[in-house]
Amino acid sequence: MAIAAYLSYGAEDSAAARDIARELEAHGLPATLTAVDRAQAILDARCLVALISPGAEADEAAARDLAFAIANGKPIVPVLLKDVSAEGVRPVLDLQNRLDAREGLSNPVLSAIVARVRAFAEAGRTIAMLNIKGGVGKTVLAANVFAAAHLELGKSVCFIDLDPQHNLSQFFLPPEERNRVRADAMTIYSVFIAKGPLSTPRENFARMPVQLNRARGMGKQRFDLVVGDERLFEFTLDGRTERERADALSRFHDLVAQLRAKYDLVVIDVNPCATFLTRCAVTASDHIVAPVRPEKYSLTGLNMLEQVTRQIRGRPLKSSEFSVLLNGVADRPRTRGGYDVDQATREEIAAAPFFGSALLGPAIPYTTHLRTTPIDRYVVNPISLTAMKQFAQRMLKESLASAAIDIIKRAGA
Amino acid sequence: MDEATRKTLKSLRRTRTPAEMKSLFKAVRAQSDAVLLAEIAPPKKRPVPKADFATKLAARLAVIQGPASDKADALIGVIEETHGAIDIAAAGLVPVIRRLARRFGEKAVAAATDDLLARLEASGSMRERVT
Repeated sequence: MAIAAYLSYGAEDSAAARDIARELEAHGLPATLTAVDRAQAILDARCLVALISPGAEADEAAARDLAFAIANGKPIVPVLLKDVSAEGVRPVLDLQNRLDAREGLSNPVLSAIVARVRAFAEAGRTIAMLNIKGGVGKTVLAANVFAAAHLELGKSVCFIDLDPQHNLSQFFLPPEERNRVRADAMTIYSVFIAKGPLSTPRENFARMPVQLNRARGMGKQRFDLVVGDERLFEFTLDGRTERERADALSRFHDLVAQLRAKYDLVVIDVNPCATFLTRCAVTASDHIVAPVRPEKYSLTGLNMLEQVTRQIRGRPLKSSEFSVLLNGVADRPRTRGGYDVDQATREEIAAAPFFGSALLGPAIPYTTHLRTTPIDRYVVNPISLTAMKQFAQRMLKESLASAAIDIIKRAGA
Repeated sequence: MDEATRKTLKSLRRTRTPAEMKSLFKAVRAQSDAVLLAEIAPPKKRPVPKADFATKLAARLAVIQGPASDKADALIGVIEETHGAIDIAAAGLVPVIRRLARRFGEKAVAAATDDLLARLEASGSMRERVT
């Protein structure tokens, strides 16, 4: 088994850290106590167990561990050993969600740590659909590729619509239903808001997803959505304080952690451009899928994506953390100025030092079947709006399924 | 022989051998006009079958976007709420309606359709409006 947990602690808590590591190992959950390359050790682990005490709060290396784990989407298990000033750790840890070990590492506390770590070790993967350029097909491909993952590969999927334009929610749900979810304070906006009547309590996060596959007698494999909300734009402008953003980030990570425990795949549909929402998505994701149109502007978006992600994560990236998916490829050569446009784009990406190995073999063909029309018709089962449930379209369905297989493999799901 | 008849004969000759033309002339001479006209008359149109209960109901459910199995599944789901679990697979819509009507009666199935459509209207259509 891969490393289940990395333990972050101050020097004075090393005995407690050893006890926890021993308990985890006894339950088949390998843990890392010390490492020369701490950043790599955190990346290699499925979660970080943070021992919180005044000593750990004052320890610079432990603080760096936490910041790095948060920037790189690593789930955190906070274990409170001694009281600390809430302000000191608030931006990075939710103290309400901590495991309380102030009266010692008793058996129930150790069991709770093991249960939390096991949940993260066996949790699903988080994938962000992201490109700094807009209009490349992030939303439509998210809906269709992961519908293929659900219908063809039997994966349970939960989308998070993190785009203020909330097109993914529009894709699946009628306006009236979205408005009802919004009135119940169960959209993503209510995750970002920490206080007041518009806020959803953390304990309700797992109940937020709306069912998108409503076929009778469906098994445990779910296909759900955390509905988007246009009010998220408040977090892309200057309307929110640093404190509110820190709370939003912490609550968003908590939402993702709770969903990972229930689903094989958590798919975040992100807005284009680089904003606070991009930071939320990148820091919560294991893998990034970048759709690219066969045109030169998409290539600029791809370069910017690497820069933005590197800056957010604060480290050099690996191309294995990305998948590049060509979208809108013609079924016959499209020549312009003597060049085959699709082939030229593919060759350009394939030859790139960083993204070359991230380019997926399957490409999504250009087709009107991936378009949506705002018509006066009703939907009883939202997943039927995807191409996977439409009549015929064999070639398109095969492309979507192949892309889903490759992405899931690269994401380690 | 007038020009129009000559033209018709020429068009017949275009793809036929002299032997085939002779055989055609022989057949025409041997039959009456009525028999010849009957032979080349266009096929009669099949009468359009009168829409039965199931096809009428299926037409009402055309406002639902998605495959027929979805519509059948939703209709079965509504009837299940009052009649308990139903072991009918959600396949083609018309066959499913027929089977439901045989088991529960046309009145119950029509009422379930009304109920389903009312619920959909309440949940709203996929139409997006610019305000």
